[in-house]
Amino acid sequence: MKRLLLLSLVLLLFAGCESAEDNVFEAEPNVLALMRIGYSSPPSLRRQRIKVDRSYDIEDTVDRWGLRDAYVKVWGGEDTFVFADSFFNEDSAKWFKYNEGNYYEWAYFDDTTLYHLEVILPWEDTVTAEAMMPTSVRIAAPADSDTVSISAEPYDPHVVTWNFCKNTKLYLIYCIPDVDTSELGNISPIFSMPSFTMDTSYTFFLERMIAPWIYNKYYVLRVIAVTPEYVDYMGAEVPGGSVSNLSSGYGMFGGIAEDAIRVFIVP
Amino acid sequence: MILILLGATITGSVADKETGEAIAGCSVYLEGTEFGTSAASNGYYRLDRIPRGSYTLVFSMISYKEIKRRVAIENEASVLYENARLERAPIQMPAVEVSSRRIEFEQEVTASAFRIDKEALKHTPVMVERDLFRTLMTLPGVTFVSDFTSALYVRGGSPDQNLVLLDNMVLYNPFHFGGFLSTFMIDAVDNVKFLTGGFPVRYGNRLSAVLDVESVDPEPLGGYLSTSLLATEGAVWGRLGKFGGIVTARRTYFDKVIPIFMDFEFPYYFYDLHGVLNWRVGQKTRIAGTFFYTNDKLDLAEENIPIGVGWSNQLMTLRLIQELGDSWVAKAWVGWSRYTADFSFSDLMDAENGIDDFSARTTFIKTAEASTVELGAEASYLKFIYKVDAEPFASYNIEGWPEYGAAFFSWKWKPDPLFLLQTGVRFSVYHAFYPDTLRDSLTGETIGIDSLEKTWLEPEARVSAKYFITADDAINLSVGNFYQNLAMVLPEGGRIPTNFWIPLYARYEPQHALHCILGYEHLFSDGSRIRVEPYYKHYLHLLAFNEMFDISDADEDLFSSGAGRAWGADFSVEKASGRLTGWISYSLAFSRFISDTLEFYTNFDRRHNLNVLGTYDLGKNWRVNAHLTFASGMPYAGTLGRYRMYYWDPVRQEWRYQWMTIEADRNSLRFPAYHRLDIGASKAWEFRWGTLTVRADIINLYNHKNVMLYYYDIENEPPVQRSVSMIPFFPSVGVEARF
Repeated sequence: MKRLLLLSLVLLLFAGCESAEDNVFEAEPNVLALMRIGYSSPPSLRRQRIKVDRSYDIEDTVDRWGLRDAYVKVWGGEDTFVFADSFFNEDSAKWFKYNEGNYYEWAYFDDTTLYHLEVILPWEDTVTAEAMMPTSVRIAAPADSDTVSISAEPYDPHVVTWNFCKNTKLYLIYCIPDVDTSELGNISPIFSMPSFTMDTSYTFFLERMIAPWIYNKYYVLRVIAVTPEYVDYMGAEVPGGSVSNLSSGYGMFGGIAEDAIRVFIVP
Repeated sequence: MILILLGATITGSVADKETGEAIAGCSVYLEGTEFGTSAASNGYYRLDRIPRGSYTLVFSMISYKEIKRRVAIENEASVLYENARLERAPIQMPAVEVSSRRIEFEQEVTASAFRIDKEALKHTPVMVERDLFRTLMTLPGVTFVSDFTSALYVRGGSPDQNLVLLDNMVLYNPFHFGGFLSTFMIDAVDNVKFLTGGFPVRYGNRLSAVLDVESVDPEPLGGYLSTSLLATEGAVWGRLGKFGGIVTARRTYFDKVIPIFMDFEFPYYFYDLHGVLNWRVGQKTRIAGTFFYTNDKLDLAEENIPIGVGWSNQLMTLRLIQELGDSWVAKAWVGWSRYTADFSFSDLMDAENGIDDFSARTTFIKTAEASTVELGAEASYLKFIYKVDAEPFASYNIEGWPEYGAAFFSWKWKPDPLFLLQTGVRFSVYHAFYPDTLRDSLTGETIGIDSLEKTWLEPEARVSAKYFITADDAINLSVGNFYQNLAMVLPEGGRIPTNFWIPLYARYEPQHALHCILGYEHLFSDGSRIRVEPYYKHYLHLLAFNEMFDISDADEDLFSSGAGRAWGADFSVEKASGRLTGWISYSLAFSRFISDTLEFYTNFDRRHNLNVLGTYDLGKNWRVNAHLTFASGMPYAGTLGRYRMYYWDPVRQEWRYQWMTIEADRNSLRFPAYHRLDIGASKAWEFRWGTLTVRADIINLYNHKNVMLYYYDIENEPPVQRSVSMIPFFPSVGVEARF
């Protein structure tokens, strides 16, 4: 009996040695292909950027800022755009290590075509996705350089309006002091927080009355139409987290359409 | 077999002369022979296979005067009935523990059952004070998640699956902040039973384990005062005529002592009060009342940390024990148990939980020569609230008045010395009534009150059997099903300092578990024993707190429901006599949660758990003790990797990024193994007035940094993984005067 007990104890100990599931980290491609649709009439080509990177083990010391030598292509309808590595020249690349993994191409996207992304990585892994682009957005009111009175707003609200954009889940509205980008670090973070709506108009700017406006200055009023893919991708801080439409699971293929005007703000 | 069984039988019962209560564990033997046994829990004993002759039959029990009777066996087929009523006397008999082990072995199905010896409680190394739960954590099948909680995780079950009873009333939160101590003061309790699975039908409404604690029966005049670095505890007890009573109290002074050693105010204290009053109404009637109160308070507001936590247990119970004739005993309890807890963070959040439990229970026990029948019923009315006010972000309020009723029947039968059967059925009814606040879907404003009602019928059946291979070896088998109608809001890792309980409401089905336990047990002649118990548990409708619940729909989304499995094997070797006493326990355990979408190891799935405890009596009232714990790592949901989340910044008109973490599958990573050695020593001096004991203990002698949690600074380059450790090297001293 004692031998039997000892044997069963040893067997159970061996059985119990399997204690944790394997959790081997495997690097995955991380691609941001956010196409920016600006307003121009007539529509024209625009320089687009696709960022190709990868994920890293938590213990990695990351001194790489992207992957070079990937083959990046977007096509749809009759158009095919092959994005080129910004540093195809080996000699110049070494001076710009923080700009690796950027792929550029001049392109034009319409709002009726289903576009396909294909990124073939140096190790022959391929990332794919598809998305439709938003209609370019055009702010209708106020007009450029209009004078807007913030304090009068509850009684005489200014309404920002723009055109309806296809393939759009959300519109973001910013109103930022019209300063040089080097001075943006000095302004209140509240200006970096967008208002949003799913409609094509917005009352200017009920919830921003507490912002530290500097009156009698110009501000940039910016409206951005965002495709569903980018909205889902940017949901990192909400339950459900960031959602990718790429086959790699990291990054996103989608688009934003932007338009901006200057407004003069008075008390 | 026939030859072995030849011989006369002497049988009967043993009871207290004054109260008529059965004296379990009373030694009954024929002087000068090898024939002896101990009385069962119902007081019955039986001596078999006695050859013809004249003998002296002895009844002896600690605290009772010994009785000796002459008996003569004239016919080997005869049966002699000898009942005894023992008179109380403060007599010390060291052999009694051995006897009670033997009776327990012979008369009970002991699968997964432990009786906690007060001596063991007194002589295990202690952190601050002696503690019941810290000792329970060393038993096979029990594990823990950190040094800072005494919550018991029994055989793959979470702490809310344990039924904790004090004098048959449920105690909802028997812990103090930080987990150093439970709310029980060990001199105020007696007859502690801990059942790690397959428990009898008299216990219900829990899935995993039972801790059944009874208040002590007051002795003649006495008391003690004990003080340590962080708390003082004292008690007085006595008897006057038919009345006996004990009052025990404890108060900590963390708030006063810690600032002396550290530059830190710790505005936390707790106090406990436990009182018992007994009234021996007559020979066959006894009435007893218990009062129990605990209160914890932590208020960091003065430290400019806007956190306040408090909780309290309040319990009152009245019990009646009435003998009805020679073989029936009736017991009845009525009581009230309240648990309240609150947590506040500045003006931003205020959480409140409260349960009022009004319960009544009764049992009727009939004991006969070979069997015991128990009939019982219980009814509870609960009033509870769980309210979180964190406007404007979240606010919800769940309250209700559920009712619970149960009736049970159990039968224990020992048809011959080789076989013991214990079986029972329990039928429970749970009725949940909850007001449901109706809100406008757009504004969130209350627009009305509806009610949700549902009734569940819960049949349970449990069977335990024991087969004696030899006089010292037995095999136990226990199977049964168990229901539970309440759950605890228990975040992963138990990171909140108190517990929030919620009885189930209409959205959820009652939790259900099936147990299957196979056990082997060997009892040595000195009371030492070896146990091996493989087990399997299957859970249905198991609830796990949903940490990502939708705040706007909290009452619908607070828990995730799934199935679960727990299996493993427990081993223990216990040495009960001699100068060296103690035990070695080892548990191999697996615990899985399975829902529709995922399956994972629970966060308390410890694969290996080893405890070695020993106390050595050096003589001259010197004792030294040691406790070694080794436990393999607990699972946790950790970080595997990181990636840059790129985005377009429309304000600065540039591309930016932020680091994001890549999380491993839920509970798929493991902390390093936990191990710790505690040692202690005590010396007692006896004086005319009583005994003075001084003890010193060192916790975590070699200062091993057991990891409690990891956190990462992923913005750093390279990223930094930092850990928070549990209790470091910690010495403590205490003095106790007992009179």
